[in-house]
Amino acid sequence: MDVFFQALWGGTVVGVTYAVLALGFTLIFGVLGVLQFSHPQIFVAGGFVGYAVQTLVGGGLPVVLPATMIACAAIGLLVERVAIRPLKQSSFLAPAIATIAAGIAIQNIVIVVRGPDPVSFPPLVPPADLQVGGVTLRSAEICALVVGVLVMAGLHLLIHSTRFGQAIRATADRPDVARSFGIDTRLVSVTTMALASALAGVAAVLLASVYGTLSPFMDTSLGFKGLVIMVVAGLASVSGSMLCGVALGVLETLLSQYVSPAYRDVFVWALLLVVLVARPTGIFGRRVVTKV
Amino acid sequence: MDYYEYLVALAAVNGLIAISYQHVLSSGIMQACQAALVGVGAYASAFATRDWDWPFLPSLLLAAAVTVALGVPLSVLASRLGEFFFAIATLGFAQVLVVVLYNSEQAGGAVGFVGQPTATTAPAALTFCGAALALLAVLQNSGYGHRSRGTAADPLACSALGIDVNRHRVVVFALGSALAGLAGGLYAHLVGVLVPGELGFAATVTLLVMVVLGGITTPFGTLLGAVVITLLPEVLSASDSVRLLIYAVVVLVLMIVRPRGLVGRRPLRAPAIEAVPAAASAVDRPAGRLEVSGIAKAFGGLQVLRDVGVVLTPGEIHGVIGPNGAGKTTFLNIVSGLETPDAGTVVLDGVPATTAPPHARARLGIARTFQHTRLFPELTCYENLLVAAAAPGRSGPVRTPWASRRDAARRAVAMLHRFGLAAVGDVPAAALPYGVQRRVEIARALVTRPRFLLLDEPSAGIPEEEIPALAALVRELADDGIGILMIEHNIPLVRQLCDSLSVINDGIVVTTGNVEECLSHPATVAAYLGVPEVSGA
Repeated sequence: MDVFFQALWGGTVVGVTYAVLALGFTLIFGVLGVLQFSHPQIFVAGGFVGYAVQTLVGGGLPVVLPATMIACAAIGLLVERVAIRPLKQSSFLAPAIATIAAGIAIQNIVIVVRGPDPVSFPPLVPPADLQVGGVTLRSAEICALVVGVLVMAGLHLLIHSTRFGQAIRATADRPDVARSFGIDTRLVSVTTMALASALAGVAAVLLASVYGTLSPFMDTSLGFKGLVIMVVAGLASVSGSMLCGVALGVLETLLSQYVSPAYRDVFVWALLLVVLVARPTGIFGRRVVTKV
Repeated sequence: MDYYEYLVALAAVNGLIAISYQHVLSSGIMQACQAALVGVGAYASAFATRDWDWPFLPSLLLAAAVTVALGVPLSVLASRLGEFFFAIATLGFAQVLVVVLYNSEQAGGAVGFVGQPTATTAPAALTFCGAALALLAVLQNSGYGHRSRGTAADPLACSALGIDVNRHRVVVFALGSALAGLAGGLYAHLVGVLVPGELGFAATVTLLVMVVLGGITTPFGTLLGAVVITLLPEVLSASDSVRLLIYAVVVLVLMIVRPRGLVGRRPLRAPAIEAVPAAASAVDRPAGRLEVSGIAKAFGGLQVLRDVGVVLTPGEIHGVIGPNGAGKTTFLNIVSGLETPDAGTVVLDGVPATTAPPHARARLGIARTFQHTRLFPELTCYENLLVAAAAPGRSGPVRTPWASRRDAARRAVAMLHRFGLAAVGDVPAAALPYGVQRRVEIARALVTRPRFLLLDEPSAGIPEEEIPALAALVRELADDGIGILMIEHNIPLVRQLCDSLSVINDGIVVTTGNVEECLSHPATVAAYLGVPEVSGA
């Protein structure tokens, strides 16, 4: 039983970081209407910014986390300005392709600066273990869980209980109507982009400190997971993304523990397919009725 | 094979892969596993030549066959899942394949598959790529191509024109898979080592870049995109990451400069054919009856229709009026097959059609327009009509593709002339004024040679001064023998046009029959003005 609970714990922690990453995807897709393919590379860049800040300046989580968020927000704004804004009007695929290119650029800047090899990520909180029953909770994991949950709760409050959140939801729903009510949708878009990119930075710092390692090639598998979480949760459902992120983390860990680490992904995808066929609008998505 | 010959062959193979993907994407199928399909073909043919000593060419056929066998079941999912989920499901399929190959010893696992002969020469790759390009270029301007563009732009409008959208997509997917498998076979015998990672998401993303950068609307554009993306990293001499950095910047800049791709499809121009006399447009079918009765429909707890019916005979214009929310459009949707009723029947010439899908009904001779026009916005007026002409109609003589293409063009041009649209035939539909768009939509519906035409508020959004022309047109269609069911709010127009009328309120027909009697009926007045009914009425 201890093995099960250990896996459950580890999966939850990792799942929370997935959820934070996926939330960024979801927010950008919801508000800007763009598949931001360079989001995972912003995650990678964020991880390396965090690594650089900690090794060069130090200060642990209270310094590294805000610094990373600011850096990622800045990268996100640049991507919005260069790859998304000029192309938003032309077609659905054009900005997506441009963000793919931006992602390749970001990743290779990281590689040019730091090299292609994985680095070991320094601990951001003093290493310590807490034993609960037979389960070991590492301080990095506890910290990731707490920070991740706080960030998500804060985001939930921001979106559902503030005027700005109302503007975000209005813009996501009907940008033209939102504009006619005096909402500066461009400002909302830009702010959302900065916010969502900062979330990628949070996810990067948390996940890297849990794993204790960081590679410039983490982008592909994480990008995948973010995309899958977004879709399974129902496009543009924020609370759904949170739950699905955690569910995916737990599921992955339990499958590698009990079934087969090699075929873990096959099961995750089989499950995904079952969900999609059974609920074609995602688990938490609203049913879209096409009127004719 | 020297380096340059290798590069030429690689560009040709990548070109073939990219146009196979373009073929699928430009039909509106958001599929994200083209690289995986290529990989299936690659591994299949490599196994055939290495382990079973097959010659090279048969191994390519095997590759295509295996890929089609895998792709077709996958494509059936598309109709079930809708665009986004289908994209994700195919992404998952690709990922599963990568995992399976990684863990397979026979396939070489992570190290890769080696040992197959390097049989793909540059001339062979160029030949296959050229042949595929020629095939797709011909298809692009055929009825098949029109159906593809139509389904990509508006599947619902297509099914109302008689196109079986799901079936068409399966066929497109099958052809796209066959080309992908073939390309995979060529690739396997060109590069010498196959690695599972090349099947995954990243590879499909690269293909997507080729397609969109080059131009998604035509295989020629895509081919150019593939050549650029293949050769760009090769001509840059720098370290890997600097090279990729430059590559990314070039793609970004090209995208911003040409957001619609390097090369776009040139629209088909309406040929200068003399206006054909009425014979081409008149109804060529015997008289029949469209009988709809007892229709009930609820959306959740909202009972929209309780008991609505109508009988339509050839040459008759039957009006349907009623206050907003009375259920008129829902009724029309049920008659045209877009929605299934909870109760009631739709019978055409004595044959039940209640459960027939929209495309089947269109083929039986029921055409419709929409309350908000559903033209294919980026296609020209003429091309909008060509999509309708490309829908498989009711039985007709078997003709060569050339003859039927000529016939389609003739039907479309005749309809342009008849509706006074000849001057705007080559203008994209979205650029036309709304009143003209409405006329185009009626013309498009008529190209399918319907016996019954359902019009949903034909005068809505049309300038006052264009209404008489519209009325004359509808009258003329009825005189040709078409039975017309017309939802309309413009009462003077109803008075002028309709032979009979039904008034719907609250999900039931409150009165039907003679137009004037219906209009002055107390229940009609009550429905519109909310006058309390006299007790006992």
